[in-house]
Amino acid sequence: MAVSPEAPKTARPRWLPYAIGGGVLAIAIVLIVIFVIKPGGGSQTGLSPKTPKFDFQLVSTKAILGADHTNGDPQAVAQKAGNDIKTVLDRMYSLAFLDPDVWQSGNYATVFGFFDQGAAADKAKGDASTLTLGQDAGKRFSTVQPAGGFLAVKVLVDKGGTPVSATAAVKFQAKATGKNGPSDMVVSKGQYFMHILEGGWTILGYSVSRNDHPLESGPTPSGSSS
Amino acid sequence: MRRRIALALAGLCLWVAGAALGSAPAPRAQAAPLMALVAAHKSQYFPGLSGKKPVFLLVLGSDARPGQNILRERSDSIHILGVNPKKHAASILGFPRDSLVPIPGHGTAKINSAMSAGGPPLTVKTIESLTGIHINYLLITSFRGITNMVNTIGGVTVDVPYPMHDSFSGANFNPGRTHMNGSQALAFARDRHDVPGGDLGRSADQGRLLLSALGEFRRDFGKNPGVVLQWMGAGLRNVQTTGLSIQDLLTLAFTARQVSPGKVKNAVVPSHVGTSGTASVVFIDPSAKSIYANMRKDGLIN
Repeated sequence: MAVSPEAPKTARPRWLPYAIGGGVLAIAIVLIVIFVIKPGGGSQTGLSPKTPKFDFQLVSTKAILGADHTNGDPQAVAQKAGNDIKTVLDRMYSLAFLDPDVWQSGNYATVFGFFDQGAAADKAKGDASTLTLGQDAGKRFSTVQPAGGFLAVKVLVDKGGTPVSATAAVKFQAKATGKNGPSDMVVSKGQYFMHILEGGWTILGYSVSRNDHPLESGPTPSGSSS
Repeated sequence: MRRRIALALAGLCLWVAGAALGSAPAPRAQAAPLMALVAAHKSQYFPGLSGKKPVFLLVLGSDARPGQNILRERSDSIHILGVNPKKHAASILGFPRDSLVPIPGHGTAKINSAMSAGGPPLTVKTIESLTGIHINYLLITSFRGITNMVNTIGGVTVDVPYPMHDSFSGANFNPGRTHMNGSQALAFARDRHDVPGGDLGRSADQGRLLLSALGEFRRDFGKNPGVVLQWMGAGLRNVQTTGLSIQDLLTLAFTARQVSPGKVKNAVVPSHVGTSGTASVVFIDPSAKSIYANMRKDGLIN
């Protein structure tokens, strides 16, 4: 039996699989950039529905001029930047202190996405006990509710009228109910040094303190007799 | 003053808001149990320069008068700042304005003429070929710039080394720590008539002024790190820079907070006054080469 000649190949170019693979890789990189590297990007879907609603009250926004004359209205630029920074810090503090899925697990990886990737994020991870509710919060607390937050922002506006750098002074409070004991007021206060990058406002540096203190406990046995 | 008022207001806003929330620690109803959580700690991170490599800034004071281009007049104040990030130390090396040096493409002339002849690039080239030090950043200010900047930051406290009473510059100081406003700081930096060593002494005084500003910045930063932005704004409005991005400036500011004035050596290039033709000039001594070599190595003058 004669062997039939080899059937002609379909007209699929050899480079096509490589092109498809390259495309998939490019999409993967873009997704990684958006959801992992981009400051705060991970928080877009990060908050669990059980997270109590919280947002800072923006008490002041001030433009610091980087030139004698800047394009546009620097105070309006600072106001917009202040609102953007507020959004970033609202999310960051919600993840760091209020999202039960986060503090119960003690995994604050999403919080560190708000810091400049590299030295700032690495240092922030080491300072987790100050910058978050703490890795053992799940063992200590049953609920955490926000008790107010204030934010004052200063924005350096360059000659072109662009916001380039900012400081955000914050005071955040939350009531943490102890599992087996009294409640505590969690207090985070300090300043964040922020820089605008492609993905938005990113934290470059910080000076933050924690001054948690016990809240007055409920009625004592002697005081509750009536 | 304006800065302090603004800071005070911002602080007041925060604390009034805090008080409204009842943030003052509440007294415990009973003795604190051992398991009570009381967290009181602070964390800081300021991204300053790191690594062993020194950074060099050339700081020039232009003698441009109002209406003149500060980049095309003579530079009457010339200092190299060497910063050693690892050692948290720095050095200031001043060059008397009348120093007779080779100016690339222009023969030998007074060092301050490099800027009027070829602007900042020629000045940098002149300093680099003289010292072998690679300049990373250039900062240029003017009489008005110094005055404004010092006023914006609320003045500087300078340790005046000797009596200075000079009608030409307006300097009128007794020795000792003196808080100066912008005009006084400018007079202090300009006085050469009743300063020991004349032009050489003046160059050292200009270094003293830079050191005083460093001390002032550190004090302000220690009280409230947020002041860094006001200082940057004051600098950007009154100093022209090349090669310096906003982030570089922030990094330098964070680095400056780590450098104690006690770890900054302020020196003037070894030199002596003489004449060249009919002109009074300053001759830089050959011993200056060892200072340049020292600085090139680690940014410091040993």
